Amino acid sequence: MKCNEIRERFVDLLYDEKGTPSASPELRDHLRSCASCQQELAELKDLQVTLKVWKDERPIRPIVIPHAEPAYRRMRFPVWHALRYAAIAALVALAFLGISNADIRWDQNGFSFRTSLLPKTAAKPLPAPDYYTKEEMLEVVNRVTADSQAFNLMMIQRAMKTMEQENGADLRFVVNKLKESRNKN
Amino acid sequence: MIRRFLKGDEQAFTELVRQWETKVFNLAWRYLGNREDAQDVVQETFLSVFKSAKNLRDPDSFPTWLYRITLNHCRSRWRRRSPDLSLDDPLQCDEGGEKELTFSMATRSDQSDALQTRDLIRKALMGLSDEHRSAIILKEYLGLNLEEVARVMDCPLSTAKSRLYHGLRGVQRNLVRIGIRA
Repeated sequence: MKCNEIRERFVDLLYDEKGTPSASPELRDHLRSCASCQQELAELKDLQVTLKVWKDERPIRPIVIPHAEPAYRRMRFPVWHALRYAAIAALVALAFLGISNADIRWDQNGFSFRTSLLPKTAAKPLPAPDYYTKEEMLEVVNRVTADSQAFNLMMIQRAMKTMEQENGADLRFVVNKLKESRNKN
Repeated sequence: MIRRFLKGDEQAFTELVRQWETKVFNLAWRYLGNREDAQDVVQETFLSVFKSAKNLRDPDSFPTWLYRITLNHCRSRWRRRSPDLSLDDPLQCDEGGEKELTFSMATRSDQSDALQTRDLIRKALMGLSDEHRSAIILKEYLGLNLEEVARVMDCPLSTAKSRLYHGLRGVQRNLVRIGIRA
């Protein structure tokens, strides 16, 4: 083995600790035969003794012991942090509502929320009303009575009374009946 | 004691400081070559220990962890100043106390020799790189075994041995250059 390779392993001989790889037989054999390596190892051992001249000393001043902050200052999530995040979230929400041109309603029909971000659906045609409005009813009655005879008029009157008694009566039934009687006539 | 400290016992931390402050101080002193800087590093180290104790997973590895924090603070302080120590600087006993050598009495010659040797060793260590100097101090002065040196320096065992060997050779060369033989 070459001296340069051997010398890096002098640490094993200098310290020879339990648990670390001890000096190999090759290393010891080389040392027995190489005066130069023997001298270097001896010098390193002398150096270890010299280094020990520098003795330990105590610190020049006592150490200041830090103390933990009081509990009220150690809150993991202080209230003001929560308020700050809540304010930021509210601002973001308001900005979104403004940008998206939101339309929020809460009335007798319930709650509705629309934004211009969502595609507008085509308005569905309203279904034909099941019932005539008051004005439509009056118009129908007027038309019917305009060209009907007294018998039909009586029927109309009876129908009107019935409607007064029964809310939500289907006026179309009445109108159809009138038409039938008119056709018969 | 370490486990008590990790559970939040402040009295245990005080005892921990008293137990370890000398070792930490001497590690910093030998690394930086200056007592005042070393004192500051000790204070900074224990403040870091106090703040980051929750990061220590294994209480048994406290010494390794403590020395690693100390060396980190030493390196920070070293970088902040200009460590351009020339080995040809006039010999100073006790960092500027040349008076001590001048007025030393005959009966104190051994002591002054020791102080002089210490100062030469300090200068020789200052001339090493961070890795070599750290390895020497951890092994020769703190008495760690080679495995522990490798853990503190966060390197393989073979690398720690190599740094130790080259550190010893570097100190030897520097001492010869200054004019003292090991």
